[in-house]
Amino acid sequence: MPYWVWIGSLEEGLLYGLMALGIYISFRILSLPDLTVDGTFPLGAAVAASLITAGVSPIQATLAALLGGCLGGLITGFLHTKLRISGLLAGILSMSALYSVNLRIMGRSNIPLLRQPTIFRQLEDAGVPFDYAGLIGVGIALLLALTFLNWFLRTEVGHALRATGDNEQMVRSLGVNTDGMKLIGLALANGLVALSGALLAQSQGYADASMGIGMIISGLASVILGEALVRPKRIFSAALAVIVGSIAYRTAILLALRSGFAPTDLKIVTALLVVSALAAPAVKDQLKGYNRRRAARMRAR
Amino acid sequence: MTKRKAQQDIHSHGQKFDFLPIKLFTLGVRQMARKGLRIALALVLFFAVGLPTSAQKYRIGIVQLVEHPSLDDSREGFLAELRDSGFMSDVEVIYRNAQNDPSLLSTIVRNFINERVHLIQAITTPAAQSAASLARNIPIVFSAVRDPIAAGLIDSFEQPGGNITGSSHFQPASEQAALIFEVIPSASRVGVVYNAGEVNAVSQVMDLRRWATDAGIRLVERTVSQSVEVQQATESLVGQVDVIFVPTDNTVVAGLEGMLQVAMRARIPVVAADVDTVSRGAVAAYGADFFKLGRLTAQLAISILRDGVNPGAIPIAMDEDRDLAINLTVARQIGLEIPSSVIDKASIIH
Repeated sequence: MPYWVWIGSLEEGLLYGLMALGIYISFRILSLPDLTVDGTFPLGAAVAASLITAGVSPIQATLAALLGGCLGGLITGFLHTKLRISGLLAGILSMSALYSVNLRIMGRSNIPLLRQPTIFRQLEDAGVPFDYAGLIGVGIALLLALTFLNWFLRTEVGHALRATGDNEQMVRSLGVNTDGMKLIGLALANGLVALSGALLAQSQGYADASMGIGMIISGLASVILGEALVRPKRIFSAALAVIVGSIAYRTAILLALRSGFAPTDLKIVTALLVVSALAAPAVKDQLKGYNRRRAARMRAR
Repeated sequence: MTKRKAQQDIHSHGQKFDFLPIKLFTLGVRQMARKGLRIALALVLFFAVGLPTSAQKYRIGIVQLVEHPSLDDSREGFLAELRDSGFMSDVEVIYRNAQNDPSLLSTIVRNFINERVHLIQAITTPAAQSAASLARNIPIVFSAVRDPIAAGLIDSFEQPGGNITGSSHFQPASEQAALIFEVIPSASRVGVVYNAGEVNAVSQVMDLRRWATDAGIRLVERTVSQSVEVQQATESLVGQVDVIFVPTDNTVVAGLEGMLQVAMRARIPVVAADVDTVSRGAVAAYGADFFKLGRLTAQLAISILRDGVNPGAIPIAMDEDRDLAINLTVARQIGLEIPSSVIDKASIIH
């Protein structure tokens, strides 16, 4: 298969990788199952698209979308930490509320960006070929996000944040404001998710209220897939693993699409591909164990 | 990551700061050496799936958002016209369906670009938007798009511009709603259930609102965001409306049985905007023939591929003929007398 097939799933993998990074922060680092994502992803798209059509520059609109996502995360955090609503329910509540908010922000259910300036079109104007504008634009955003995370998670606050996810009671006994940590983490996570949504809207040419459907599922799949494929040992390689997982997940979908199965079977083929990637280490271990036992038997004989 | 590892990580890393690109590189090399076998396997898998396709024929990629009768008709009509015109022997069709997952649309379109298709048929508005945004050098024909101007796809119906043209089933909702009076002359309160997140549905409801104000009708609106909510939304309409109108809304049409069940029990007639809905239990519909529109779309595709016409210069195909479908069985069950004037006009009777 020629290289350009890679570019498609690479670009999408990086694009959704930003979203998966957000999910990694809430689910893995904070150990907080945050379902706000299905709402903040289209929120990012809605904010960016509305601002761009209103004449704001694409970069500013994208940054505004990021802040909007942070705000969405803060609302979930507020519901969870201050009003003591369980994390799962808090996420569900903000997610459903955000559906209406997104429709209000857009003023209608779908904003086309086909004839509007976008970050990617600006890159083209700067001389980047159309085929690579998406890849380069998303790559830059991702590199910035990773550099920021790499720095942030090593600061004092970053360490406290990670420790909060590991052992909240212990960290609180050390005098850390764990509620504050959760608020920061959720804001950061949903900011990344909204950034991903804003970039997707600009890449696919429209923002749509239904864009968020299934984002958590695909994001979680990416996180887990990445962990299985890379087996990260450090926090930074864990973040990279998420990106690898996202690319692998998009590749699985692409392979399922290209496999020639009936369109109805798309989801199950995708699931099977992911299962086979996840099961590979276990199967390998079992084979190893079997070989060892057999060798032991041979020796005993 | 286990808790202990995370703790170690906190200590071992201290305040060390790595320069990202170098870190990426060394990590990449290390991973590559360790994962060499796995990567090789993945590459083999890639090459195995992507065997080259025959180069002589025109490749047409069809991307469809979801399977439902009107959309399937758009595709079937397209293929039927290709067959009947004898063009099919020159064509290789790749059909992909996003199974109602909007994020898959751009994956599919990107893949079409990579497979070097010569033309894309995009079925539904978001599919067309994804195609128009990503495939700027491939001719695109769209189907099942109600308002291509509002969707940002074209400049005008006569001169679409760019690399895109298609067919539209644009029909004023008021024209469809007029059927309500023909079937139920006494109706004064009309209920409508729609998904506020669907651009097609919203533009129809806006149209209906204007019509209702002009006609002195009370329009009772209920919105849903998922098919499963349709039944509950319909229940909330019982006792408040004389008739329910169903716009061409993918969400509501997908959850139609939930609505029909409630409407049947409450003896409220359901009038729809697409004729397929009538076979499922709506009383009447006056709508576009998506199969025929699919055929018209194929004619556009043929003139683009065979005659080399610039898509942006081909006017949008419209179909002035409408199908009137009625369901006498359901009408009898809910005790509704459909006037013989309507029955005479109907082209589809269930």
